Amino acid sequence: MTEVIGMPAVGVSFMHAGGGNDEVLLAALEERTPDFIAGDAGSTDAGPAFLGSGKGMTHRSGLKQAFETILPIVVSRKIPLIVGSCGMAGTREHLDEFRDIVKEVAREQGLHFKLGLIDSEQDKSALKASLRAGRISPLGPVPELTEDDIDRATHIVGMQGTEPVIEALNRGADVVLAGRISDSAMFAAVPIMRGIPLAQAWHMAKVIDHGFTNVEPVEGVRTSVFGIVGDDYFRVEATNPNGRVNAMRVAHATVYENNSPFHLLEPPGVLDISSCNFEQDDPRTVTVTGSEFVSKPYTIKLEGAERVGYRTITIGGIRDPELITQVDSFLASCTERVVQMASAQGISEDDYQFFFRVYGKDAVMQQWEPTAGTDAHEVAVIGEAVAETQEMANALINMAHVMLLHSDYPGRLHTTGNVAFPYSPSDIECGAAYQFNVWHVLELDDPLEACSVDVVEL
Amino acid sequence: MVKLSEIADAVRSKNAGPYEITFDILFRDAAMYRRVKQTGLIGSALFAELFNVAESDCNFVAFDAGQAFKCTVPRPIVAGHVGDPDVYGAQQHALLLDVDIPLDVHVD
Repeated sequence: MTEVIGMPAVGVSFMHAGGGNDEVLLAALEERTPDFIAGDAGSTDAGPAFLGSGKGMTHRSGLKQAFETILPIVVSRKIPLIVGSCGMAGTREHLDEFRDIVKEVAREQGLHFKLGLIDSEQDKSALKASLRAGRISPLGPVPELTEDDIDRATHIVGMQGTEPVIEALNRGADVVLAGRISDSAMFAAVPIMRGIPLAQAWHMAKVIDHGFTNVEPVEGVRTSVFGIVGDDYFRVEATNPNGRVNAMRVAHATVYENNSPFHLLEPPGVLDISSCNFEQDDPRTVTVTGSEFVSKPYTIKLEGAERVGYRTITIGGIRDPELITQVDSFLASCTERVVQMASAQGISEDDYQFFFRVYGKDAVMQQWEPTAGTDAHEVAVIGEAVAETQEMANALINMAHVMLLHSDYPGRLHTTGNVAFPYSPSDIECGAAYQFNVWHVLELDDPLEACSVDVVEL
Repeated sequence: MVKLSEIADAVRSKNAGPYEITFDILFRDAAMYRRVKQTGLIGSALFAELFNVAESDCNFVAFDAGQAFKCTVPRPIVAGHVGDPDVYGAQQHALLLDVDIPLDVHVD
């Protein structure tokens, strides 16, 4: 009977602030030698900017530190390492950045291994052909894709399944870097390669991708989880002998970030967990049985983003109680004046969006905010312009900050300035603004047709 | 009456992709989960009303194995589009916290 052990890259983050921690990783590896370690480096959660621009979210020194921690360990212990959705969005630029960091660390530390590279950036003409062939459809409440959307997107990536990872490993890769890939595919690839059924492999993968979500916090105990998967079960075990994994938390890890708890769409079909049993074996271990997998025509998700303009903002605080009570009408009159002044300067309303957000009132929930008005003693105002050019956005915010600062309002007891600006300059250029414009599924005949797999010797 | 925030162990919101947002209400205590479920109050009608969407757009599930209620609704603004207030969708759960549950529960 086959059993495959996987582990998230415990103590190391390829997302967020980067960085690594040898102690946590080495302590986990003293308990067990996993058959693979995988690390998720991306998500669309942080918005469209990373996909749109091809720039990463995590600073390079943090990423480098993460690889400096983990590479010597996995190479010396001969544990395959799979890192996917490089740089948040997993475009070719992100993959290249990660490849260069890995090469740099390997050179500096004298490490030699085979590096697999999975490029999931999509070719626009191939996508248009697929669109014409009726092989692309919306994923959820999304409009039908058009050729124009494809042209406008700055980057389109295809979220890969397990097959490109298996291909890279079969070609001898010791470390695999992937562009955009399903979070779970990184963790399901090795089990599937070793003959574990799809249901158990994908469910275990989904659960341990969210490593810490499964863990019951224990004071002073730092732990992640092993995923141990067999033919008709998988176990989640705390890496630390004193760590605790809770059955309910494992069930919740399955639910996390999905639109349905029972049916999880993955490239080869749907994972159905509606008949699952989550059993607490001991405080450290939970066993899950009853996962099912329904195969479907092979699909991958397409993600694309387009530039919508350039953004400039200004941030100011209001403490004067009289102005807080009439902040809505005050900002409406400021907006009106900005639009008039812009128009007088030849800036057409069709070429920009301009608005204010009021923190302390309804900026977080907007139309979902049930509380009317505000009792706050201070509020923050953000003026925001997104325009055809950066210069135009700058001009709009320049007018906005002047209006904010000096417009009169009923009952004003001062003439010095209506807002407290924390910064000089008070206008903040944010650069290009992006939005998602592709969120669709693409049918494939061959799971490897929408990516390229390369293996290089370091 | 008791507020949901006083009896649930987690109330959270998060993007389910940029076009949808999903809400989870989790209970550690199986009996409490069952009692809340039996009130019939937590369902698609409640989410439709709170989040001003059609009931048919609310994908609601009571997840017994996880002692959890889950509902996914379309986002009013796609995550990260100009004007979106919450790119991660992580702070929209607040609306659920004050929902009154018709249960007689002693809360410390």
